[in-house]
Amino acid sequence: MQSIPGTYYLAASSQSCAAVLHYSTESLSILDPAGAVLWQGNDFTTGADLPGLPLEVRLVDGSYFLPDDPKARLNQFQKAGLATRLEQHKTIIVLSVLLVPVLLWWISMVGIPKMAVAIVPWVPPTAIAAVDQQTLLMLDKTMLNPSELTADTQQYWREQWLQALTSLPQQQQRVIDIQFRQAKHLGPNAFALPAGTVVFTDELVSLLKDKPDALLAVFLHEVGHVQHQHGMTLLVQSTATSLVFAMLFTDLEGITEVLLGTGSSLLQASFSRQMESQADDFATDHLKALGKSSSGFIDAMQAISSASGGKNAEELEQWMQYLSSHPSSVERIEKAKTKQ
Amino acid sequence: MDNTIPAVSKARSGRINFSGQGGEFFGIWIVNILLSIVTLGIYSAWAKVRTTQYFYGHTKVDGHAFRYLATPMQILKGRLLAILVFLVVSVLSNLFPLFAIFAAVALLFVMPWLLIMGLRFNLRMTSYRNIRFGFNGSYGEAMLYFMLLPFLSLFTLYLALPYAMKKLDQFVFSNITYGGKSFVVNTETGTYYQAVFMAILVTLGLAAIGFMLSYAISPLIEGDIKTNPLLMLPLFAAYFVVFTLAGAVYQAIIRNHLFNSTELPELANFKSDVPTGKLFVVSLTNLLAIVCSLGLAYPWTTIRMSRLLAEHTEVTVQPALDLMRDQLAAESSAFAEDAAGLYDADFSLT
Repeated sequence: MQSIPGTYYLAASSQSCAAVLHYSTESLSILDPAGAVLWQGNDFTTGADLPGLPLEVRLVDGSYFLPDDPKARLNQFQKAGLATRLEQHKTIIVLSVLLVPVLLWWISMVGIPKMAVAIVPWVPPTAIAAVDQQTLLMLDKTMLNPSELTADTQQYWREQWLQALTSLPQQQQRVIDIQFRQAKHLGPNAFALPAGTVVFTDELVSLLKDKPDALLAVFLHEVGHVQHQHGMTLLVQSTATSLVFAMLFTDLEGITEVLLGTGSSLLQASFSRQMESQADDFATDHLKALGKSSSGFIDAMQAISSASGGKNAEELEQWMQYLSSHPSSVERIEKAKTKQ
Repeated sequence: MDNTIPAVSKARSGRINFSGQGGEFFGIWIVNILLSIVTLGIYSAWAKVRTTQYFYGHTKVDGHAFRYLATPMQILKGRLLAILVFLVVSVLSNLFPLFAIFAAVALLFVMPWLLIMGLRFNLRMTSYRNIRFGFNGSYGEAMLYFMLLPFLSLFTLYLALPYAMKKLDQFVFSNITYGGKSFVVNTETGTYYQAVFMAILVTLGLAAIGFMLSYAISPLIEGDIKTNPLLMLPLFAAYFVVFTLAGAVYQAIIRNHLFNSTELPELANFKSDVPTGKLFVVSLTNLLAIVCSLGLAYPWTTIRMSRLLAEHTEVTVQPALDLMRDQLAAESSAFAEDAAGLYDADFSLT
């Protein structure tokens, strides 16, 4: 028999009074200070066990009893709940402080990327084709204009590049569709969409028209993105990352959210940089396979880099390396040189 | 049963007592994050319930603690549904960029619904002395006060925004019920203009300090914003600091005014006297603590803020409050509240 002093809250009413709970293995009774029975029976549950808070006894009629002593338990030998014990265990807390950052790092650096790579082959090809089509449609309505290159010029480059692809030692799995667009805001640029659409801006073609190998290098770089399925992987990865973080940290606000957001954008940028160097490797390796030197790649990098700001920009790139989605052009050129 | 009521009782006044401890809550917070990660996010529903129960249980008015009655399963169901919707929307938006535009427009119409469902759920799950809170606001009103008025104030060059904010607060707080009785809010538009004016003044003051500082140290730095975008970083940080601090000034003035002008007729009155300077300092040091500790100080800062707000809130309980009966028993879905959280539009009441 055990007696616990506390407060008894009546069912569906704001009334409450001081009371004493008596508990034995047979039954539980709650008496007011004068000794009158307020409640008696066996049909009750206990509320959540929380550090520093008394354990609530919930009775079947909707009334409840709250002990005065936060440490009071119905069975005095009963330990606190498992969650409470974990939350108060010094070793577990220290372990959590160490493990949480490590696990978060692992999830974002290894877990999610691996999952993305595993999921991408399951995405139906028609869905990927739809992404290409819709994205290009969207870009055509906003940033891109129809190409001003003559049909002959377009056809000439298309044949050159596709010819190069077919003469590569190993056959490529994806069909490449080459498109030309005029884009004042993008300047000299090229990009690949997940299903194999490769878009060249007029500005890039005219910048490098005297250096066919450089244009070929850019083309191979974009093909590298397509063959490694970078677009789809990045898409799956960023969706999964925002899902996981939303699930784990639902109650964050303000600065903590900014910190977490900054961390995850830095991660995304680092993945994107990895993919860029993978595509660079694809380009330089295949230039070699075609019997050309990687100087075409270096020419392209230098031309694009100086068109977008020159020497000053190069210095800047070193500073921006952790924020940027691409490796610095100096780094990319140096790497290509080692492959010559 | 002993239902005798003291024949004559007087109104009782007292500060809100908050007894949560930073160290204790740190343990709950970090262990719950670990468990959430290990269980692939499932435990986060339990974490949410435990955290809320911890804060409610440690908040006492007139000697009685608040209770949070939601069950982890309710929260989990809501979370899973919200994630499903998020997945479908983001997959479709990626496949069809036009769908993203449609989804964004649809969200404008869904948002007020999510907000009122969230408020309704949270308040219904809040109980004080075995009597539940509730929320009566309708979708139409939510659309008007959350979306339409703030949007229309755009066309007045934001001059009408303080008025829109007053109407919004009034909508939220006057629709809260306790045991079926509504809160009555008598806020004044003038105070909202005053609060916004003070916040703007603080922003300008801090901006002036920022300019002087950058002028003083600019000879030490090479290049300018055009050639070195890294210089944008301190600017970004400064923007965040200014935003937090101006927000603290606004919050102090509005919270005090709102509490002082709100009552639960014949049941309870409220008084808030949060000193603007104190809230300003606590907000600033909280911000610094979180940044310097890479987020680890988060539990400590929330406990500290709760204690500050509790210390400066007084509740006067009328004798009639001892004789209330509860009429609310129905439950509502946790989905709305959680979907709002996932889409980052959770509405905080304090």
